[in-house]
Amino acid sequence: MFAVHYGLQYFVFFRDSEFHRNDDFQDIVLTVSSTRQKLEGYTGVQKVLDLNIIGVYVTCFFIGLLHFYKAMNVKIEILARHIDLPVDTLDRWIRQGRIPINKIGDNCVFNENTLAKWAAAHDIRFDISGLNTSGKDKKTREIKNEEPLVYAMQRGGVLHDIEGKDVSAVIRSAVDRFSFLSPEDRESLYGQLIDRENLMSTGIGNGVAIPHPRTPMADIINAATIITCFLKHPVDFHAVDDQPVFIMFIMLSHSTKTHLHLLSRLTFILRNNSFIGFLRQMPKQELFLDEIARLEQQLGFIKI
Amino acid sequence: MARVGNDKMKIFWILRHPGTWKIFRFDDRLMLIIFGAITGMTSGLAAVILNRSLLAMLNTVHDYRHFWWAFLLPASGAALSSLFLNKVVKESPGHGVPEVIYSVHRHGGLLRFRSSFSRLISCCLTIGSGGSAGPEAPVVMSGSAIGSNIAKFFSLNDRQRISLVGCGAAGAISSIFNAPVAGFVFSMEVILGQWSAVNIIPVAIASVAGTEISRLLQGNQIVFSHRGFEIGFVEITASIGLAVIAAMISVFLTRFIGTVHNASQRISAPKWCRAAIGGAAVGLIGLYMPVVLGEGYHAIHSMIESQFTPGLVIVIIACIAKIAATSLTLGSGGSGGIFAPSLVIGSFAGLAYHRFLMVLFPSLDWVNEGCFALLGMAGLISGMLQAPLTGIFLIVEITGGYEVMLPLIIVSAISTTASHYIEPASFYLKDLVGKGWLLPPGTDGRVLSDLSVKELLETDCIAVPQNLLLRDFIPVVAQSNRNYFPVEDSVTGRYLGMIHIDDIRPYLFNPGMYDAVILDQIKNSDMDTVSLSDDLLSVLDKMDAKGMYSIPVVENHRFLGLISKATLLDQYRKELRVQTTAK
Repeated sequence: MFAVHYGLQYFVFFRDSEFHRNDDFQDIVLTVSSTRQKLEGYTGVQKVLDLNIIGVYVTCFFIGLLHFYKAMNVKIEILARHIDLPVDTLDRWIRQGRIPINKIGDNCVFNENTLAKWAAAHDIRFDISGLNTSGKDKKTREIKNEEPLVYAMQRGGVLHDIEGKDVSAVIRSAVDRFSFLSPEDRESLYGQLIDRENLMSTGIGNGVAIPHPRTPMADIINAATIITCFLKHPVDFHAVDDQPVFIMFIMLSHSTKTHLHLLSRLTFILRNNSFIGFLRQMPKQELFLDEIARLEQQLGFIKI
Repeated sequence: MARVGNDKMKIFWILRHPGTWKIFRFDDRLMLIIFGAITGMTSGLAAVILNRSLLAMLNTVHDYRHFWWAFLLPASGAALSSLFLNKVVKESPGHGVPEVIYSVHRHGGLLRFRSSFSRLISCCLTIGSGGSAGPEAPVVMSGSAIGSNIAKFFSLNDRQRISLVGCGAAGAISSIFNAPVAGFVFSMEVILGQWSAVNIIPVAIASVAGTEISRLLQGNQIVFSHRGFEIGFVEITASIGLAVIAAMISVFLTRFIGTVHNASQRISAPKWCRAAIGGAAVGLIGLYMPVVLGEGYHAIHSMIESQFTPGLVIVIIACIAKIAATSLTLGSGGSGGIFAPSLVIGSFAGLAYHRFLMVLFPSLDWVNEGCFALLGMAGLISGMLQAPLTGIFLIVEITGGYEVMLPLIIVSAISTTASHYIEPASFYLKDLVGKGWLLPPGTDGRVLSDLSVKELLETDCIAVPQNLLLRDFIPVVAQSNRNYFPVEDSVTGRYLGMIHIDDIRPYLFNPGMYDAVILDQIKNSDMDTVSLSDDLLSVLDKMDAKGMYSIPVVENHRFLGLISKATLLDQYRKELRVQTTAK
């Protein structure tokens, strides 16, 4: 009778238990209480013996404990990359018993909590939360930093016939045509661009200017953007070679690193005199972007 | 479980890898306690076996002691033991405790399986035939080897293996002296060298297990039981003098063993011949002074019981004779420990001191002479091992006398301090310290010896061929994260030299040089290199000598990577934290 009772309880408990997904003992306790209610419903018995319930609690506690100390099983090379240790060092530490990890073949078996506790005790910082996604994040972020110029230009687009007779006027009329920004953002962007121009001209010579804000604009944009603006009339930008500027690349980036990367690429391409000649013809957007992509490919910036 | 082929073998695999069991994975203390108990029992058993076989051997040999050729007995015993160690099991002579300590410090407690019986047999031959040595150290060696091999069988890691080696040593000492606390303290103080929380419990359990085995098979008897002593202020004061004398004797004994060892090394004869000569000398001493032969427990017994009748001069001569016999036995290559001889010499010294005091102050009411024999033992053990606690607890337990505690503490403490003052390393550690092999965890030497060149290797250097133009080199420089560029032969891939970015700086802003210079002309080919097998200490010495911050690693004329001090600092700190932070 007793055994049947137990058996029924465990059966119900395991069928309905949800702690496969829960880490917390609290949740297990909750599951047990709901089991008890369900059991009362199934058997029609109003009062299940307290002893039985204690049995369930104790069993659940141990199951939960084992579950809590659930093992992770990861290849040693992957774990070493996440802990930021050389594979040989990790291997030696496991061998010497300095780190709570077991090795089975080439795999490391360990418990995440124990390892985290150990790391905290030894002041060794690492992040193993990404272990399940096998560390692809880091790589994609790197690629994002090294994005080709043409993508940023595609996002910004090409504007023709920018009106204006001096620096502030052309920047004003260019910024006014940035339909992807709200009026307030446009105003603040304009202020920042003018600040930068007052500091020193962004005219880099050969009739090209690259106006940009001094600080990254991560709050306004979420990806680096270059807006190519062909001016209606060449304007004196106080450029280094005093040539009037006919084209502006307004560069908005969300991080300094991206900014420097794009700036370096852009200036590299602009050293090409035939490209300057091409720009003076004020090409249409498609033609312009094709040419940029072709040049980047030629220089090996984009891998085909 | 990747390696496991079929299900039948799987169960064996799991049984042999308890470290991977779920309940041990997050805390292995329970597992260590279980294995510690097993180790303690096994090594206790080994101690009992040695004890029994020694007794049998001594009884057999005793019948021949009165013949004139009896001095050949220790000679043949020592020769046989030396032959057995050198030819049969191919192990180094001596008692083995330094090897255990060395292995604990450097190799994670790895010991050979044969060590678990080899010293037992050789020391049985040496001591049983009359050589002056103790059976304790060989038993410690075999207990430790048993622990180490149990750990090896169950694929435990180094830390756990070291614990089990300590367990083995503790079980052995506990069993042979029927002294659980002494075994425990000896293991922590001498073998493991540090009182870490993870080791204390399994080692304590092992000494209990070892003692129980001994009591089960041999009965619970106190080795040197005696009547109670009345200790007064006079005795406590007098014990200070005894402590100083004990310290002097222990330093003298340590040095004399070394001297005899060096002298015997100079004899151009096979090792077993040297051992035979030493044994014969011991035998000759034994013809006139039979008390020096064997481990000498019988003599201790009679001294503590105040039944040792000879006068002051004879006792001093016996003490010197025992020192000589021990030095000859151990120095010439006989196998055995220093424990028992120290006890014998110590009790001789205590006895002599007592008789000397009696002559000096005949009017004072001195305590029984056995008490001073006992204090002398503690003084000599503490002085030899430089382990005061071991001395105190061992004597308290093997004599069953708590009333001598006060002078015992004084003698042990002073003797340890005094002998440490003259001889900074104890008898066991002397060789290891001399060779620079003693590396406790958390020290600079240990961190550097644990880290290897391979772990610090930085491989993200871009190799360039030797006939590259400077113009073509500049884009390579732009791509690289490093300031060093190895130059390799374009055909064979041989390492030719290094280029540092400083080497090209003068030409960098002079485009006229771009096509005029090839890397072969700029490269620095006499830069020091190291190989993968070099140990880090020598690598650092090399770098410091030339003031380098990076050094290339070259193996078989191939460039493998760089070692830089920046990365080294990073790894060094991590290693230090891992080694020193308590669990």
